Amino acid sequence: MSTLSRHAISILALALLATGCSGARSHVVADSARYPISLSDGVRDQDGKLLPDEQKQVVGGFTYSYRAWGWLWRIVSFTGDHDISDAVNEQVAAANGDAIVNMSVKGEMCLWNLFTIVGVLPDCSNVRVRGHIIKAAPPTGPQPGDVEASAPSAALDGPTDREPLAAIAAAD
Amino acid sequence: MKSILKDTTPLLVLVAMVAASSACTLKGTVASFPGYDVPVLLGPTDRIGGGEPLATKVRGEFEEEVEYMQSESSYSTTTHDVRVSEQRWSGPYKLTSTARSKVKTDKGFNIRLTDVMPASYTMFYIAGMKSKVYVSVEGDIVELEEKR
Repeated sequence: MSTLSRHAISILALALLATGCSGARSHVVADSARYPISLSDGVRDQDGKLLPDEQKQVVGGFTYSYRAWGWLWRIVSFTGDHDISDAVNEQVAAANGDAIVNMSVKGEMCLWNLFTIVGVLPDCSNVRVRGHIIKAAPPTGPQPGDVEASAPSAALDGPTDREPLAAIAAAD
Repeated sequence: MKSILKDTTPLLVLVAMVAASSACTLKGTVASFPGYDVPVLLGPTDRIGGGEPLATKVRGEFEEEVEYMQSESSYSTTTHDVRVSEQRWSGPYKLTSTARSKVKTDKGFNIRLTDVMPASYTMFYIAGMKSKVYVSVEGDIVELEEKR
């Protein structure tokens, strides 16, 4: 084989190996959540009024993670819609909470991206969902007896003190 | 041997760049609305205790994206090799800022999200790569029919 064709084959192989694209996408949904889920500080009480910060007591942390898979950039999504309703209903009930506020959705790549250099392998993306589970305190302020009666589960991650949300935010 | 090394060097450099950039990209990005009072709701329940949803009228649309993007590329001139690197990041405060510009802190509004999509992609090509992680958020700005 001539030097010229050897170089041509090398360059072609290199181009094929080094050209590719991959990706993953998913959609976070909560179609059957029984509790309000807010990505901001704001949440409404039973009467539809905004709940003041001093009445929001953090009783637990909501955590949920999953890995989304896709193929051919993001054209084919193996994960599609990812419903977090069951996790929301379970964790809020376990913490004796009323709502989730400050929910965040974090997207990350995963190490598998390294292997997608050939461009035909599926790809993945890590998704982490976090939030504060809160309980609405009576407008007159928390009663010491109530604090002891509904202490959060120790198994939950995140802030577990029954402190007003404003205090938690200031500490962050 | 020397020829093989010469041929494969660009590929090795590319793999190293990809490894380095993937490690950085694992940082990701976050969609949230810190410091914003208007409820930004996901799911059907719009108030504590549930019940019939509050009567609302759609007043506008909300659409925004936060991202972490990194790209690396290189090319050669007659005198030297040039490597170009770019990084871009935006996070939760971008969403808060956009939401505030669309809905002032007015107690009669909610933002009802219709799509929260975390996604990522990586593109490799002969002279470099680009990777991006992003979370796009879409929804309706709704006004409560009965002021609270």
